[in-house]
Amino acid sequence: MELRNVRRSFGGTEVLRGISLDVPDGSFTSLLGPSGCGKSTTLRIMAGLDRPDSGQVLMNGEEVSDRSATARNIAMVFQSYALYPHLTVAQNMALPLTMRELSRWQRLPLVGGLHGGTRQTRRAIQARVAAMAAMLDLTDLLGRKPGQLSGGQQQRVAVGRALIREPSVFLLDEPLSNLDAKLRTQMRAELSALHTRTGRSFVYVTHDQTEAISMSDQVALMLEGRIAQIGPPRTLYETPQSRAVAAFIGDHPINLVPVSLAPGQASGAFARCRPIGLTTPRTVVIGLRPEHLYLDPAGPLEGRLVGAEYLGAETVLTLKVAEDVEIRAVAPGDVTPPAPDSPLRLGFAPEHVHVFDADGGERLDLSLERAAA
Amino acid sequence: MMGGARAWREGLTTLWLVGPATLAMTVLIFVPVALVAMLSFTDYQFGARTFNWIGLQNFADMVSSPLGRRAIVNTLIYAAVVIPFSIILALLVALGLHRLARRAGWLSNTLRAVYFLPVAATLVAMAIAWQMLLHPTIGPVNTALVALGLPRQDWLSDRGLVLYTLAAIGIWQSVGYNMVLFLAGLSAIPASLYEAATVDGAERPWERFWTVTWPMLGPTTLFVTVITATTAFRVFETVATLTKGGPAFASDTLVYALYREGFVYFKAGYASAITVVFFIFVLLFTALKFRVLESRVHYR
Repeated sequence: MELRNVRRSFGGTEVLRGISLDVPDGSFTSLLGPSGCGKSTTLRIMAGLDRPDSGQVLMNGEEVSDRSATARNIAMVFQSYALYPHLTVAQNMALPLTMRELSRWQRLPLVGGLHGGTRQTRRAIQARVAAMAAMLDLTDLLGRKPGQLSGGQQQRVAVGRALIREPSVFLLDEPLSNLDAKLRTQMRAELSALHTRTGRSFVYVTHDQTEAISMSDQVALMLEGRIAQIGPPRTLYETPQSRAVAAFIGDHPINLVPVSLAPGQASGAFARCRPIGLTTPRTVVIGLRPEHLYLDPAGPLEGRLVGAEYLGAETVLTLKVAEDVEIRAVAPGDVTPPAPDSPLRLGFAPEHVHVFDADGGERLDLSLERAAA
Repeated sequence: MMGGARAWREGLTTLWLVGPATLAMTVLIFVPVALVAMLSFTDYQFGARTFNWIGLQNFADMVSSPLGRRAIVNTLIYAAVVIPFSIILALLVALGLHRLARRAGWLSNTLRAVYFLPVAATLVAMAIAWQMLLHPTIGPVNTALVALGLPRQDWLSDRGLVLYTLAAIGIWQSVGYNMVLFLAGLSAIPASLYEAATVDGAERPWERFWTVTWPMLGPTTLFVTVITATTAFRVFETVATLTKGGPAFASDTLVYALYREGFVYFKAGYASAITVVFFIFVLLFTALKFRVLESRVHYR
């Protein structure tokens, strides 16, 4: 499945500003972004529930913008699960199959039975429902109505209903957001396993970067109706292409410090550092992840401790390194933080330094290293 | 004994909250109902100083006399016509207006008000308009029929027709109310269910209706049915203003018979028996609602 320069506006507001995205066969692609970035709209356009104003939607190289969701043979899991409350679990999962494999007349009660193949088809459908239920651990619940199930069970039924007719693409719209934290971790693993087992293309919309990073082959980070960066999770984390991407990705918010650089000399908090690869002076923003800063008595960053937040496995230290500049660093949890206001020094590796243009925010091929004493 | 004092206070609060309503219900509803039930076993007449217990004689009279049977059968026929037609028409109108609301909101709202007008208007006043419309010689309905080359009809004085004319007016009156209820039910159906249905292959309007709309409207439809049924069983105003139960009792109904026996002939005992029969009809319907259907439409 592929999107080419897809645009979509709602009442004068441009929600998608030219989305181009390739979902390779069998991949697990996440659309990650804050609410309102257009990720759900993108998914709905892929599903055929919405149409792009311009641009192309391709499946196996064919334009499908005008085809309905049914004709595209996609499956979708909705945030609210959207199970049919009047049908049992088994009937919910069977519905896509009865819709596709039985004709209008065969679906009618009583009359349908008169048609020769109806009974056989129904039996085949039941067998597939039973197999799917076994795979998702729903066998005991087949006779229940959705209202009698827990959130996690409803979630599994929704997944089962989507998977049962072997769709070409499997779309998931924030499927875990209504579950509690523990169940979410468990379902994350189950979905990953399901992806491996089925080998289908998954497109997964989420605002939770942990979900996106832990499950995906590729993550498309969407910001304000554009794809800010697309690539494997590791690439997004290690080489963010812009300041905005760096700010979004990462459990701990990245430190972003504006600095003036001249060849051989940095300024302000980074006065003890030397730029690598710089030829002409320029103003930049230095990005350093808190988890990449470590306590080092000989480190180039010097500051006073203003706060320490103990989190069990780790301690987040906040240092004031210059007037108006605070930097957060993550130390292991067993480090006893020094008294407030005591001077501390931090070190970092040059490969962990991200340098962005101060105006446009794009990534610059520069780094910082410690200046020789 | 702090706990005891506290429980006593809470009990007092409960009594305060429940007491007045219970008292009012008892004095204004339960006692009169019991009195009516009691009177239905007597030959009491209004103003009389004495009465005799006559057992089930009133009920036997009602069932054995052609007039009593007529009233019962007429009421049942009236309800059997009004209930399905009113519900189906209201559902169709609601579906149409619901769809229209997305494309032309103002038109949908205007039509909604128009359909609701008969509910808001006084039926007695509207009956005058109907009498004009249905007038055998100068009424527009017959004029239209003649223009189409069809024979004119005596809508309100033909024995075979009058009950159905009244039923049509009953439908006209209740469609608006039912439509409003259906519209509320329709707007409560989550859009994601329709989207799921589309993804699952229910694409045609008919398939979407059977997969999502109709089952999701279950509770609304049940409520509408019960409301329509009780209103239909209670039909009175149109009968009283347009036909007075005539011609020859062809449009006599339970409540009109009750009015005639009780307030024209002052036969309180007999009128009470009619009331009890009427009450049983409504009670049966309500019991049906709670016992049989309630659990089926809420999907638990």
